[in-house]
Amino acid sequence: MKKLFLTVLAHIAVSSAVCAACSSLLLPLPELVPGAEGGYKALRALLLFLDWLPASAGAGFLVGAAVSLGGVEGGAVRRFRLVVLSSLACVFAVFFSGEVVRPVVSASIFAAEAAPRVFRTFLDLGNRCFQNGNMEMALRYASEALAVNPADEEARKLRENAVSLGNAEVDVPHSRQSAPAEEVVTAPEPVDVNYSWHETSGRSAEELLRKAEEAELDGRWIDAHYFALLAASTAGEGTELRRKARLQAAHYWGVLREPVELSDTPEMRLYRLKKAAYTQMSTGDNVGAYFTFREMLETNELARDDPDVKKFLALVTERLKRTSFFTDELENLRKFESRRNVRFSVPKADGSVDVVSVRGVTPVRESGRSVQYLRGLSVFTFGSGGEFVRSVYAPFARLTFEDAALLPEAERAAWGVGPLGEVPFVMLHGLDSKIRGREVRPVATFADGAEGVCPETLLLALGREDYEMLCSASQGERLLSPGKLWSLFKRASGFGYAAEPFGAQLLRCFAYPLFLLVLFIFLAKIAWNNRVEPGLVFKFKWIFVLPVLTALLYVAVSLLDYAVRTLSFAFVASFGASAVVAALIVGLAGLLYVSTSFILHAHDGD
Amino acid sequence: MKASVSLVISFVFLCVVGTAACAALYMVSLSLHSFVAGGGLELASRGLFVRGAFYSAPGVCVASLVLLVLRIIRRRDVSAFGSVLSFVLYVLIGCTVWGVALPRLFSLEAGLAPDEGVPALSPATPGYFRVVEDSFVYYSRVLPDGTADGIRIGRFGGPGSVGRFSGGPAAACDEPYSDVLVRDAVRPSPFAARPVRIYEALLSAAREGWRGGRGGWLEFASMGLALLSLYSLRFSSRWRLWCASFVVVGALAVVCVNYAFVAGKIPAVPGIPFVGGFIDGALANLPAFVRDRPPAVCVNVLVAGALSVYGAGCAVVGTIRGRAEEGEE
Repeated sequence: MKKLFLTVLAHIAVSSAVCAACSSLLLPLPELVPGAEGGYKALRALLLFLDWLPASAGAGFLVGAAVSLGGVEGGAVRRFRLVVLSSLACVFAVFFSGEVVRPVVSASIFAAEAAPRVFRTFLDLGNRCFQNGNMEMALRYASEALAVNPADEEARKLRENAVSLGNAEVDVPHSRQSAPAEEVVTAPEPVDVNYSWHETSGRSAEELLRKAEEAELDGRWIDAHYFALLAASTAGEGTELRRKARLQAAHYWGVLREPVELSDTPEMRLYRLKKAAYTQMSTGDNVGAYFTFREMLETNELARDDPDVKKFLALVTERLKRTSFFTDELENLRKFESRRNVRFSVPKADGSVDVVSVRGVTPVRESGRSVQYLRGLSVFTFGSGGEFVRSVYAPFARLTFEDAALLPEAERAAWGVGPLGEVPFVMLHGLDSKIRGREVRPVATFADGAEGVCPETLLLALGREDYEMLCSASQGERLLSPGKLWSLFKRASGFGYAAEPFGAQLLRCFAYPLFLLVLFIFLAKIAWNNRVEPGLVFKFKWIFVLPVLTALLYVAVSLLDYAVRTLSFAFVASFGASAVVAALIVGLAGLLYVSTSFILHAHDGD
Repeated sequence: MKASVSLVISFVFLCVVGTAACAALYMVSLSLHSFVAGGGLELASRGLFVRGAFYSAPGVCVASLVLLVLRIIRRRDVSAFGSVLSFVLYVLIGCTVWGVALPRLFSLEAGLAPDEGVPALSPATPGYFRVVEDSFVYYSRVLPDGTADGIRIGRFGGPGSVGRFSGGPAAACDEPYSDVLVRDAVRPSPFAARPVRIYEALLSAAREGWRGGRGGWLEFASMGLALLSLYSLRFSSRWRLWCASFVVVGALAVVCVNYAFVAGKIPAVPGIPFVGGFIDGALANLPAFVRDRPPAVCVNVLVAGALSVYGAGCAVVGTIRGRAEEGEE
């Protein structure tokens, strides 16, 4: 047994050295990001070695068995036990390296080979945006290029230029503070806001109306209007209370809209700003109100002491976060993308289909919830006949899982979402939390002749587990674990994936080790047939049979692997889940045949 | 005697089982060509099985002959008579296969309809993501005239890499597979595809030889002669594994050299001027009968001759040495 293992290990070691030498010397190095050559060469040598591992392990096993089995006493069964144990060890080693190590290595190699092209694409785009004066996008592309190749001078210079020129533009809005305030005073009527529980704080409509009247007495018209609107939304539909609250609110709004005396004291300026910001807030311009309140806090000394400003800033921030998200950290999050090129389709009850494509997904924990930031989200909607209806593209989006029962009925109906379970809720509108004007907005396209509004949020009509499962499906079936393969095999069709490749890969997980075991026991039988007689001296030149056998086995293993793959796929496609039974039958029949054939012949007289 | 009978039986058994297994594999492989995602698969097909049997039988018979040599090598405690008997049996079986069985197979095969049982390409099905060249393609609908609407997602990002198309070709197939999903799941590595190509080239050369009447078949059968003469290699070493490997490598070498001739990879006369002229001169001295034969035949016959001489020599030397040892005792 020891001699056998020593032979196998020695041969594997020699093969690995040969592979390393061949791959470094013979294979040309493709274009790579500078600094990545050493790692790439090592990975490629490793991949070559893993390709040849089944053959070199098999050849080592064959020769080792031929050399050592002759000397093993004790009859056929003892020899068989030895053979089975050593076969199992070899099969495990080969299988582990092939199924676990190899996909990781080949994925790294693929990424390294793609990196220069990706880098060039981003750098060219960044330069083009820079020349067109679009500093925002130039900065974004330069950052992405640097993420691929951190040492490149050109990309770094582009990024610095974009940042400095971009900031110069961004300083301008601060001096425009007063102007929008004046414009907005003539704005339209306040819109109905969907107040969250946080704002009403569980207070009843009467309480809120009373607070409004108190504020009126104090001359705090902004607070009065705010509480009156809150009371109106909390009161029941069609009640007297609601009508009264609405009337009060309209009255307060009228007062607010009256032009104020043109005195220019600091308090008056603050009041005008507060009024302007509140008007923005009431008319639904949460973004404008947010920045106006922020700028007030930053630049106006009186505002810093004014509790109203802080209170309303908090309120409007909370309203904003229900439909939009902040993009400050998105550049850094890119490094933590856990999935790329996620794609799936979502069938809806009315027969239409949403086809979703995401360039990158970054999961993050925010205040205890799991949140995902999506880069490059596209959603195409096709009708029940496959005709195009609408597409929405957002450069960045934020995805959370919300309980469908708590979402508004209208929004659920628009996206075909049922009332049960947790569904992905995606915000498409992002903004920088500190700098006004830096927003990412979605873009919608409609079928020829149709018109519509670009949505700012969207829902996906599938459950949370299905969504997570489909994110992992995009990696391709060769990189997934058996548990994921099984759930994909059961549920993936309908979401744009055929079930058969997953089933075939899962089947191969069981069939391949079984076939390797059959192969190794078969090799042991050949070794026994051609064993070195106990009295025979081993000539050194016989070592040269090893490379010959390795080459022969390599071709044989490739052919047999192709046969196993074909059979797995065909069985899964014909028999579905019961293909595993058919494969087990075939495998066990093979195992039985080689085992009995070995035991019958492995006695001393043969 | 018993051992010799078992030799014949095991040869026939190997041929039959090998052909059945290969035919089944052929049938399964080809039925996958018509499979598209979302469709079903018809696994069993009599026409394809029969085609597979005719496709693989010649190869299986020739391989079984080589395996017969290995089986003879591994026998121990054989008397001189037993050794001669197995040699005679081997030659008989070999001649039967190359002289009778294979031509008969080809004549039977000629009676088959050319495309019987071969599945047709199925049209693409909508609703699945497929990898086509460098992008992921999704067809939302496939119209009867073969055009499709859908989206294409480029693999490497950048603006405009996710786009919609309408009226494009529904190109989900990649000869011979109807659906690229099958090709990606089942695609053989280059090392697995090459032996199949070599086998197919030699098979069509064999059919052509058979069609050329007795002369044509004999020319092709010269390869069989070279393969049969590999028997001599059983004397090449004391270690049986070495002999067995040598035989297998020799068989593969003969096959590859013949493939090289069939595929035209070796020019008729080497291009080097001086040597070419020399070979021309040498060839001119040979009788016309030899000169007109294709070079493959000459190489095969030369190899067979060399190996036979080697084998005969080893056998004679072995017998003399054995007699000498007996004489000493």
